[in-house]
Amino acid sequence: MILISILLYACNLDTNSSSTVQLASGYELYQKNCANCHGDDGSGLKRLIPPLKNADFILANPQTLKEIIVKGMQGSILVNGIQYNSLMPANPKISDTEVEAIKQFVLIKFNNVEN
Amino acid sequence: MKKNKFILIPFLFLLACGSPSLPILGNRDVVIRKEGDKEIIDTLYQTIPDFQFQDQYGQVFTAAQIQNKIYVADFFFVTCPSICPRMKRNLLKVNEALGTDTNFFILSHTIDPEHDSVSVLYDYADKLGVNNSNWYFLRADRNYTYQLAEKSYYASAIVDSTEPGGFVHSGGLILIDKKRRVRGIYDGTNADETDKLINDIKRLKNEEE
Repeated sequence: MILISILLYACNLDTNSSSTVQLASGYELYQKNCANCHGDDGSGLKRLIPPLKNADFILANPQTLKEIIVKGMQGSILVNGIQYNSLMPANPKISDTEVEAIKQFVLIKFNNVEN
Repeated sequence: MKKNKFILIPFLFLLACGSPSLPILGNRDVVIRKEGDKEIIDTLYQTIPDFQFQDQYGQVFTAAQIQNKIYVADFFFVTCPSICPRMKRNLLKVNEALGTDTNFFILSHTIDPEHDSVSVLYDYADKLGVNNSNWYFLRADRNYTYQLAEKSYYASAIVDSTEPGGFVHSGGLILIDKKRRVRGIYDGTNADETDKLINDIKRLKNEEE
């Protein structure tokens, strides 16, 4: 019983530390690939570039984030009641691991996860 | 004790003079002229030449409109996916601090006039929330803008299809005084440099002409 408890605790520790590493990596990748346009704090830029922080669009469509990061976006998008229509460039060279790290960072650090 | 006196003298001198003036950047020429028997030496500083652009309202914008005004110039393009949004975020801070001053202007020059038409520039300014009358978004023939950037504002703009957005350009915010002289170049992507620019604009306004 004690052995099982220790093993479970160790697994939990491992999961926590790997998600911390992923968030740190996500932060760095966000700074490199996204922050110029969306801002260091994810607040966007007026009515030109949509926010990523507390964004109802992401909250409602978290599954689309990865595709948007890789393929970019064009056309109209409604975020928090404001219509945006700027072109977001694609990131074809980004790896799956990097995309996942950015996605997790945006979801968790910018409050886009439902409680 | 004697040492302290020597330290005190320059300190008092600085207090009397206030903070030193901003440097005047660029080339300069020395001209000697005669006034009676006296020889007078004048320094001629490099200045921004006369220019003519089209603004976001479709009107002609010339250097006459910034005569005796302080302004900040920058070079950008609307579809820029790299440094321009960060520069504009910082310029919004400058505009917020000084935008109501009718003796201060911001001139943002597009380096992609083929795409950035009058209506595109108007829409960009509108979405950026620029509704004061002293921030102008300007367009002209590409070569004309690039030459002015390089020769007068110490900025660079190059077409490069391998770069994001198709252009490489410098991210400087260039401070110009009432006599159209360059008084400072600040990294427009850096928040601390932007704060320094705001402070220097205020210093320049207080500078005796």
